Amino acid sequence: MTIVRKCCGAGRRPAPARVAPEGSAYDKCPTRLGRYFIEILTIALFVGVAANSAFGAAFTLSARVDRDRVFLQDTFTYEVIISGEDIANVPNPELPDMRGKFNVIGSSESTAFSWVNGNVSSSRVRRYSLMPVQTGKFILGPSKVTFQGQVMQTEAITIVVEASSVGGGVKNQPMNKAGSAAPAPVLANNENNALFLYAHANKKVAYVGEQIAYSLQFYRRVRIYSDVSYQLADFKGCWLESLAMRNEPVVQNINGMQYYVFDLAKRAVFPVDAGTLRIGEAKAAFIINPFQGQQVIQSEPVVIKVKPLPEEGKPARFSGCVGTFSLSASVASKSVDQNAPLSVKVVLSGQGNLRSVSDLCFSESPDYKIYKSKAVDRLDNNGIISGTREFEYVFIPKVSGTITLPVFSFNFFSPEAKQYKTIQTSLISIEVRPSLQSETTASFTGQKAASDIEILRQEIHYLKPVDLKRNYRYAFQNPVLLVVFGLDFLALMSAMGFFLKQRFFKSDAVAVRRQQAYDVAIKSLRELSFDEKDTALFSKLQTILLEFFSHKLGVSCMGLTRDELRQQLVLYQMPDAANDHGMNLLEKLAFMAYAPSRAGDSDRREWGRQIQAYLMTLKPWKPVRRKDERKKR
Amino acid sequence: MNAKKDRAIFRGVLIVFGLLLFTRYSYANPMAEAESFYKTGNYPKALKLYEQAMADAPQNAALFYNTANTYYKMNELGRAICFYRKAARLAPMDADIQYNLKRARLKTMDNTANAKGRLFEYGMRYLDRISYNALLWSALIVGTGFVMTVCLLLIGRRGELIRNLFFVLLVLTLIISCVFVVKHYDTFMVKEGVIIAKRVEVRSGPDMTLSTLFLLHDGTEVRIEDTVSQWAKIELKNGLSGWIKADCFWKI
Repeated sequence: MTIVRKCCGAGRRPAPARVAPEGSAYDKCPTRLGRYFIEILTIALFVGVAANSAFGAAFTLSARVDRDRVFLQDTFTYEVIISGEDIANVPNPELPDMRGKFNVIGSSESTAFSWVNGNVSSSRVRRYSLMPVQTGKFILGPSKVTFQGQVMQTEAITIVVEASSVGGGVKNQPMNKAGSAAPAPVLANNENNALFLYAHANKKVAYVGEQIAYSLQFYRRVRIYSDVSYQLADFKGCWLESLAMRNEPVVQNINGMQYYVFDLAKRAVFPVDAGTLRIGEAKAAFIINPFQGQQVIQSEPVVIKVKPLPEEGKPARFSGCVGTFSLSASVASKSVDQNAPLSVKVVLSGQGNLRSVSDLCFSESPDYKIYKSKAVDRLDNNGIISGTREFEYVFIPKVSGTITLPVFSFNFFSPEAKQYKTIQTSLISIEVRPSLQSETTASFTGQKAASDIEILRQEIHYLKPVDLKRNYRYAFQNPVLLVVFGLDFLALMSAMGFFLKQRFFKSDAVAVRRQQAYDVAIKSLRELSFDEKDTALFSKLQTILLEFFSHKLGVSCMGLTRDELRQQLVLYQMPDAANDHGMNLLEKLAFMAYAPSRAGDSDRREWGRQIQAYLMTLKPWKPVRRKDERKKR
Repeated sequence: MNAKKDRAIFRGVLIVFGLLLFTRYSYANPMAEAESFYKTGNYPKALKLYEQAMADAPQNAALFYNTANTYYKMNELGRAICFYRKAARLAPMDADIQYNLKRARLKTMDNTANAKGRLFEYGMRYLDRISYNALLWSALIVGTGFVMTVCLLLIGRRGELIRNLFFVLLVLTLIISCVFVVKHYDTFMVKEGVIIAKRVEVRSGPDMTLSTLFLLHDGTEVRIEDTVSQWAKIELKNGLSGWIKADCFWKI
């Protein structure tokens, strides 16, 4: 080793000397804290090794039993304790030779560690369950431990084994409701089952619907390592109800051997069908020894003969219940107002499937109305299902005076008597005070009016008279509908056409007027009265001519001078001859309008004919405006 | 001679009168006879007469109704419901038909609540109560009024009254037209049927080797989606669908 001094620089105290091998972790550790940690670890390791050497030398060995007087086939506990400061490496003790005296049923181990006032101590307990195989006084030899060349042994222990008393040792013998002891499993004399599953029913023969108490029990003579898990058989064809079970085990003696008996399951079984009811095997799993793993055992099947209920004497409305029952009734009050509700309680008590009873039978009368309110169960499932089912009815008297409550009845089959029985409540009379309320009203909410008609039966309505001439026809097969539809369509199309025509020709009224110019002028000529004064007549003739030109050209020619009119006509490419003729006519007409002499009637008509002839020549004329003028515009 | 002649004429009149009487009686006999069979419980014979009468009156609501009643009495729920439905199509407002149909439906075993919701079901139920012809005539009348207002507007009559009438009639026409379209679709496009077999296995496909999806019973109303040879694909109101043999149901 090299003593190393390290200089940390000016102003600092030099690092303390250390003892460390060269090239060790200490040299490689870059921080001071890390180096301190390594130092502490080294010291602790050194101390531990030293202490280990010192511990290995001292431990104590002892043995004990929980009792020194046992019965044959009973078990007791033998414990070997190893204690000391360091016992981790101490091997397990060697048991003494117990052949012919005791059997080792099971073993377990526990350890403990303590540190008091700086003193460390630990202990290990090896526990063995021993069972004596014969009576007598035996010495349980010492157990030995050999460790580091040393042999340590315990003290010997004396055990007295006595024979078990006949029928003794039984505690809390399970009893059923009838007072007799529960059926015990029958084992063969040479059987030595330490654990088994026992399924049994309280009856081998029962009727359909009769209650059968089924029990599944776990018997053990040895301790087990884990809890018991079980699986019940399939109860096909049965109605089941749960029964109460014991929470604590009881001790039962079978063939001189004591067993702890645990209730795993209890059921009240109500067979639904007649025949042979086979309740199959139930299974249970548990661990005796952790080294052996889980073990599974199963029970024997339970076979019960189920007899059908006799047909002879069966009531018409049989309730289906089998058992023993009684019936009683009570009322809240012996007097009530008319149409006021009164509570009636009917209690059905006994043993059987009370839950299956939905209602009781009672007679009806026009003097009262009765409604079922509720049913309350008070059942006891200790051993078998028994108790009471309380029915509450609301009774409403409709008449005043003394009324007898309806008799409530219930029928069942009694397996003891092997016959059907019908029980009923006793007669109860009540006093009904007259009510001021009308017959049709009641203080009970939901009450139907007294005048309601009772519907006895509902049926379909009767046949209808058939007229074979009447054959249904869809409307669209009716020609009237088609005609109406057609007319609608036509009207719509016409209106549409009219509308479109209006819209279309509105923009070309000029063309319409041009087209109609001749007809309009001729019409005006015909409407003229040639008996008028010259001024009026010839003015109208001028107007007809000018309107004709206006309609033809599409522009108004009224108010234009002769030259302007001529130019307009030339613009619309009127033939020159026609143009001249037209101007000539207009001039003459203007003259004649204000001529001093009056024109004769024949002259007037001649003028009309001339104008008509002129218009005839212009009828096919289609004015087209010159293009260059259009372009200028 | 005259006496002989008179007697001959009298006999002739008697014969003619008798023939007429016989004709009338024989013409009116089938339905009365059927009714008498019905009253006495001889339902098969009554049914035979009703079915014969259907050849002459294939679309007679009362005949369908009576036939349905007869099937109901014979406990043939499916066939009864089928004929009640046929009668209800022709006379949807008839209270007797609706009542008996309701009673027949109550006896069916299968619960096929509508998966499309109560609103849809109420709507369809009210639609069933409206006659096809009534709806068509209503649509036509309202439509005619609408067309008239349109024509008036087109020809230039655009007063306020006509404009208001136009909008009102437009809305009414649209509503009634939509309802009519649905009714028409429901009446002619939707194929419905009723199970007539006591118990039917609805399969996953049109083959007996395919798996059974569910069971249906007499009286269940189904919608026919498709038909393939002897099989039909059906759908229930609750959305379930599958295939059944064609002879297990009747078309409504």
